[in-house]
Amino acid sequence: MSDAFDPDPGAPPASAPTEAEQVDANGVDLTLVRHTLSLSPTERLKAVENYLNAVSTVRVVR
Amino acid sequence: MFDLSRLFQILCTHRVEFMIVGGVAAALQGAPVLTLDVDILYRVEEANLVRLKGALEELNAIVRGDARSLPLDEDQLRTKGHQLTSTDAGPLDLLGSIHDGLRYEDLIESTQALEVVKVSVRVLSLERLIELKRELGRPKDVAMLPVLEATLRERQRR
Repeated sequence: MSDAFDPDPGAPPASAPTEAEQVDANGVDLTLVRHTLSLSPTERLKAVENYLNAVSTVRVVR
Repeated sequence: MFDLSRLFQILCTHRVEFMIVGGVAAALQGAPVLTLDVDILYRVEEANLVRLKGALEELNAIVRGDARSLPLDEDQLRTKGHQLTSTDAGPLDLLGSIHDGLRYEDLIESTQALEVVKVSVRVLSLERLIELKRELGRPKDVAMLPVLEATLRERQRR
């Protein structure tokens, strides 16, 4: 365990990511890409399933 | 109600030779894309058609958009065309070939196995998906390219 003291754990990191690090030249949100890449294939499948079911529910309600 | 887990489990239980293509293939490989259909490319071969027919029966698959609620027969599956179905687990598009006549056998080397919900499914690789979408050049394919390419770049950086 680190004994370093963090005076403000809620503060933004010292070097916040730049816009270029977050969005590529085509406007793709790289934070979203990194998030989905961090999931397991099963978690990605569940995310697709949840999305499809949400859309299907909205269709039924309408 | 979509139940992709059950859909893939049943296809695997029946030992159907298939690969996932399209938006779901991209999403399973980490691309943040949204899609409303599940596309699979299956091997058009007699024994596989029997297995696929069995899986479709278990899923209560019927021809989508046909008010008569007809099941698919093997002759329909034997074609290179696209069969659009509704199943208990959600809409399922069955493709005998994609692009300009590419069949399962032509693309199997460009797939990777992914473990999802305790079954191993083959998905068309992100690299090949990008190539095919570039070649197709249709607006809907071109629109997806930036996200697929960004996903591939990020994955290669890891």
